Amino acid sequence: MVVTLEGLKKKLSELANKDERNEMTGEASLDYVLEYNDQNNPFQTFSLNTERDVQELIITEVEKRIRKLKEENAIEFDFTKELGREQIGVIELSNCPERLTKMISASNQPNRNSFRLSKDNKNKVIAYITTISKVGDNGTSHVKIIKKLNLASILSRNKKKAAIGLIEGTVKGMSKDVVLFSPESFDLVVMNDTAFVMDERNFHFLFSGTQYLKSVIEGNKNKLDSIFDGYDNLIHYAERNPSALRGLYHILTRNNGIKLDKEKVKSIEEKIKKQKRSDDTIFEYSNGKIVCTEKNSNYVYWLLSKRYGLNILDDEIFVSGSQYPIK
Amino acid sequence: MPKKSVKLTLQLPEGLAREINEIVEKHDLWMSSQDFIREAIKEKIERWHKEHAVG
Repeated sequence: MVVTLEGLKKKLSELANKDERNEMTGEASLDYVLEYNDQNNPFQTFSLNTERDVQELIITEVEKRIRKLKEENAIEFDFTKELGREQIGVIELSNCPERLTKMISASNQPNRNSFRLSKDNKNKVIAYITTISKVGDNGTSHVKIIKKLNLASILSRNKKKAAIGLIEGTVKGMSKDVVLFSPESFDLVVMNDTAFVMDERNFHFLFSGTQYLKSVIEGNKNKLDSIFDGYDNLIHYAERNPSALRGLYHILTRNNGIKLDKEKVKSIEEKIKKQKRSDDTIFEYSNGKIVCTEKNSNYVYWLLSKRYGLNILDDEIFVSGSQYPIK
Repeated sequence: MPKKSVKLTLQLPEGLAREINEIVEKHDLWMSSQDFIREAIKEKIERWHKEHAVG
């Protein structure tokens, strides 16, 4: 019998995939951790006794969920277009993509003010302060837009209120809508077509404007320099929210073949080192390791690998206090 | 409230697993297939609580 290299590779690949796909049964294996507490205990709620019961429940619900998404066409919903309308009115929250819905109404409670972002028809960034006006019997929430804000103009009119780290004027190489904004409970950074919202624990990405960052990461050095200048100016913002800055710093400076000005990196690093360490930080980057809480580890992995397409190695993410990588 | 967790190895119909993957990959709304599933279960429980609310 002649064993070729190609044949060997194929065999190894088949063996590697064996756990995940079983061609005989047409099933795929997926490791899953079901987390629950007394309030949302599916075993009690649905009288489940065995893993098989749980599995059946999961399959049924997932199928239902996919069907519902398709019916509502929610996953194709053009959020920006919807909010780009000038009139102040009521829109169906049920039509929003899940992730945005979550941000808008963490607990889906009526009269809870929140906000959302969009661009108007002139491509200006607009923040909408909204409230959940009612929750229908079928669980449909209605969002009433109670205030529309043009962030850039607010900041230029009222710089004192945007007390933290407001960029004065236009930062070199960056567009005019580079602003920092501090509403009551959130910190918001709008950078070109990318908006980041920072709450107490994480930073979230609202716009799909990652193209800009992507082009930076892919090696457009001029853009990188300008964005870096921008963040140099933002550095004092870290005192307020070190996690966000570290996250952005990591994203922008991770290798990917880009050479950065060593002195500049060093000064940024020194400044970051001076920031207080907080357990709330989403992740830190030190000595080539990404360190985060266990709770955040999946999110961090997703954020860096999927959102930014970074090649995160399995052994690069560590849970705080542990010497072993999570993967 | 203390959290409990159970580790499971789900056996999903291949077509369904593929569909979940595709949705997660394409739409960037969920962190992972697991996240998508978690949300579906959460929704089911919330629906149940709503339907069985007392008072």
